[in-house]
Amino acid sequence: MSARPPLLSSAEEAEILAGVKAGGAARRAASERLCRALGEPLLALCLHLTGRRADAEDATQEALVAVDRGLPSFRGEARLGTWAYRIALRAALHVRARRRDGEPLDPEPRGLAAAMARLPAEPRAVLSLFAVEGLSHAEIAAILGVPEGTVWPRLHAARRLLVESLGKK
Amino acid sequence: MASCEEFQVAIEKRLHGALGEAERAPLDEHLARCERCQAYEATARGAEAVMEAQAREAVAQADWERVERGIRGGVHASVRMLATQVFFAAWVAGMVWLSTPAPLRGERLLRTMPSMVVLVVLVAFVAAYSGRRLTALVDRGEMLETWRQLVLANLLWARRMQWATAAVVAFLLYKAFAGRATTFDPTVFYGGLAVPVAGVWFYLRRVKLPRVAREARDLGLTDEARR
Ligand SMILES: [Zn+2]
Repeated sequence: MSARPPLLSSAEEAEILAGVKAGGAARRAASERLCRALGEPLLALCLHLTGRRADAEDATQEALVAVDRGLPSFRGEARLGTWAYRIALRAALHVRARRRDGEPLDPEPRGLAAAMARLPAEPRAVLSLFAVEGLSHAEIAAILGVPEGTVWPRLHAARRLLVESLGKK
Repeated sequence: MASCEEFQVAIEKRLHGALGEAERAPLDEHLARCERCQAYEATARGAEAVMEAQAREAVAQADWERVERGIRGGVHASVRMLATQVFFAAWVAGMVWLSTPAPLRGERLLRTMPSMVVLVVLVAFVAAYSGRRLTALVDRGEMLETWRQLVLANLLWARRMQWATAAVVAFLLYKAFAGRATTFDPTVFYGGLAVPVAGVWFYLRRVKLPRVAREARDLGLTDEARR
């Protein structure tokens, strides 16, 4: 596996933000471009975080709406992609909490989603972010707001919890 | 001599394309003779492969039209809040209307205007406080810690609101059955006001509080969620 390219390059992010500022058709084009770039990776992230496709779709939709509405007030303290992932992470945790405790996950013979679902939010978030194509460990650190050096040990700890959870069945 | 733990971190780095050239040979050397780390690598690889397949399947089967419809057709939070306020104000006005004899209705409606404004502002305040938007996130610091604090504040607030609304319902019911008035029917008026407040109480108790408690538990606030 090779080093991952960033989700949106700095130039692309700048173009999108310029479109948002310009307003009108440029604003619409910018949102569409952002949705197209973010839709699939955000859905993948939300799927791992919620464990259910319907929940993942809801969370992705909520995140994309929030990103789109928040764009004009985006202050650029983080990268646009980082900020969008944070919003999706929050939306996924939120949507997951809407599900009643007993409600089943998707029929899933391999048991991994069930094992993931038993994990607390933090290891689940770490594993889910690493499973998303195109996120580097530096970006994951930025999304979680933790020092870069702590990301690998966090992943290792989360993986061990997952193994434990898989053993529980 | 590095520990298994350090080699397992190296396994994760390699799996995610971040292992330096110099670290590869020692890792392979260790893997050749350590069964624990071999098992770790197999599990990690297997889990990543399953997650990748699941994500691919979900992306392929996702109802993108539904997602897009939701984005385009979504009602803005402020519109929903305004609708709630209008509903509450209209409900109070309706109760004034129903509980007052025809000749006095107009005058009493005018007199209740100030309290209606107070009610609308109160509902707006409550809605603004409870409906923290997704984008209103702190940009710095550890995200999960920030959310923990936010969810905890939400949980405590919902608990307080639950008691507050129950108290208001009790007060309104007391006024409905024991209150006396010459210009209107207190049973209809106060009883009618108790209905939406009871609805809010029910929503807090059956929907909001369990949801926030689940979120708190998920974020590791187990003790706080139980109380
Ligand atoms: Zn070892």
